[in-house]
Amino acid sequence: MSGEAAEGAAPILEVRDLWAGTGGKTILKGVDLVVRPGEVHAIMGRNGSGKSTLTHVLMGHPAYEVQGGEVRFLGRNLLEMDVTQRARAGLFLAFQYPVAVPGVPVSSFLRTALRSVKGRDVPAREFRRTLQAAFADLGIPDAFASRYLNDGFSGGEKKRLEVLQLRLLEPTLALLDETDSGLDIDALKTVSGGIARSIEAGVSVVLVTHYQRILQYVTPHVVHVFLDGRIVRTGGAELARELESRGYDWLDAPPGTAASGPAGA
Amino acid sequence: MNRFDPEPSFLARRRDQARAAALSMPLPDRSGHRFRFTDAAALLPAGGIEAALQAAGAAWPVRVELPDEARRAGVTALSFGEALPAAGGLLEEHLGRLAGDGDPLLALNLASFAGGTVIRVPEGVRLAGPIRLEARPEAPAGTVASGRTLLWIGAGAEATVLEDADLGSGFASTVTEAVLGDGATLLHARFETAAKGTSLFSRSAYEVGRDASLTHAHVLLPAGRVKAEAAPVLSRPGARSAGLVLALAGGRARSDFRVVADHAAGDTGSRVDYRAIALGRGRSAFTGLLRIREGAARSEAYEEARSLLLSRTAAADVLPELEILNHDVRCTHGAAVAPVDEEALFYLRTRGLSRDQAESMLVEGFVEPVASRLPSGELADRARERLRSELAAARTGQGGAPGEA
Repeated sequence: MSGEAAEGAAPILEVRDLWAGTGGKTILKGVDLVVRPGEVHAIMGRNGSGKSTLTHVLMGHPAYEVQGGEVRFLGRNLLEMDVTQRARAGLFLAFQYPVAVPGVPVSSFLRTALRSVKGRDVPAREFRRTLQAAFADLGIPDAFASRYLNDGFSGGEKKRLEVLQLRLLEPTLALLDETDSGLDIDALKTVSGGIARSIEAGVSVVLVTHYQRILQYVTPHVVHVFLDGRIVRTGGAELARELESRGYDWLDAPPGTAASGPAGA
Repeated sequence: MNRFDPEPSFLARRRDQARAAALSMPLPDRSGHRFRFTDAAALLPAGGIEAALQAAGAAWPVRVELPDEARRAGVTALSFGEALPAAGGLLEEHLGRLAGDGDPLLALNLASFAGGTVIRVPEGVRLAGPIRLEARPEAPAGTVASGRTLLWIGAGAEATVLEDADLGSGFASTVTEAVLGDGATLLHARFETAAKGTSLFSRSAYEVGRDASLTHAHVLLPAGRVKAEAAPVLSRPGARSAGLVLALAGGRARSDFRVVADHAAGDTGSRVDYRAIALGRGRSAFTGLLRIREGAARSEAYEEARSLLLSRTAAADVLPELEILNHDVRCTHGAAVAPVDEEALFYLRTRGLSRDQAESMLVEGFVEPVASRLPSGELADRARERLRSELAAARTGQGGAPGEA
């Protein structure tokens, strides 16, 4: 169900030996990751291994400090861009815990976001039509348009709205941070369906997840295992199945092999 | 020092009393909550009360817009000069009664006010459209431009009065007194702006009759200083008041709002919702007193004051206060001052919004609980639009991105 991955095409994302942390603590310890157009990468790993940190660092969260390495997005130096520039350049982050913004209706937020990312205004009627279709696609009641953004939403509602934004904003690369967590099986199917349609439309995806179950609906081209701040193993979809049956213990790095700091740091 | 010609004897007497009161009382100091965050002397020109009383008061020109339907229904909106001969009895009964002359600032206004408007809405008249009053005073050096408004809303009448005070230079003081008859409904909204380097003092005093309903809205947008006060007195059972306050203080502006909701009778209700935004080196302050008198059983009072800080150099204070002399009542209050939510900013920016856009969106969301309660859509839109443009102006005025000052 995934779109065509373009093997050999120029990468859209190149992460080289990325080191980053927060509050003096190093979390990412030399991440290397290359995503080519149309590819779906799944990143799996234990709690606290740094998977979510990677998505936030790539998006430019101000709490994280990049300590070394480089990141290129569509050939540009991503680390020199601010959050807004990254979003407008085609990078998207679906949050594990989307933030509530009381007082701001979903529809006016979405219209502003659409205008900001696309760099043009969408006529009101066209916007309404687009929104209605996207709501229907994700099983979101129309009444959501006038509710305040994520305010009082259930976990599932928040995740649907994240995927709705992914559909509307049509980024080049989507970072999905545990978009499958906290969903019941029906919601998981709906949300996965939305992600799959984005992939079919050409969006490349880095999907952070704990569980193999979302990978039944969204087939990854590449699966990475994240351990202690870096990727320790890379394989195909079969690696996810192996993790499901064997856990992570067999992948633990033998003592003394962990890298000690960023090159040149 | 007659301001109006002819100035009837009751007014001359009241002015004399007020003048004597102004000179005999010290300026309120910061020990009480009312002036905890504003130095009273900052509301007066150099030379203080004495000098202001001696200087010829600056004019208080008001542009009045009275809809035809109101005129046809017998509603009058007269300047004080016109009203003194025509509606002397009404003025004699109410002028100064609600706001009083209990401190030098109020006394100075009563002693020297030079203009204003008297509005009378006859009993049972229900108006759909608003009556507008616009004052743009300019006070020469050493003076305090002083104006007053008197609103008389007859029993069972319904009216909306929108007052604008836009101070261009110097010092100004404006006092509105509103009497709501039994079963009357009044929406009174004030937009108050003061140019850089100017100081505006305002007081809105209300007497709310039996089963009458008051909504009082205050939008404070100073570039200089605004000290605004609202004092609804719920004088008869069934009286209700709702205060909606929005304030923005950017640059080096000072906004100080004070409300005293006075439950003088039982079975009365009041609520106050306050939202302020401070940015740049601006400061906003709120003090709110819920006063439940001994006989005011079964009253309900609610007060919520929240301030949002958009820069590290901005400051905000919120100080709620309760004075409850009857315990068969329900009083609720909440107060908070918080910086802008960095996680929310990040979230919005990941959707392509610039920092300024994201901040504006958070500000609009922050004020929405108050803006959406403004009973007229026009009023809400105007408040939002003014807030938006003042926010933009405050940003450029401070010469740097907010949050980085």
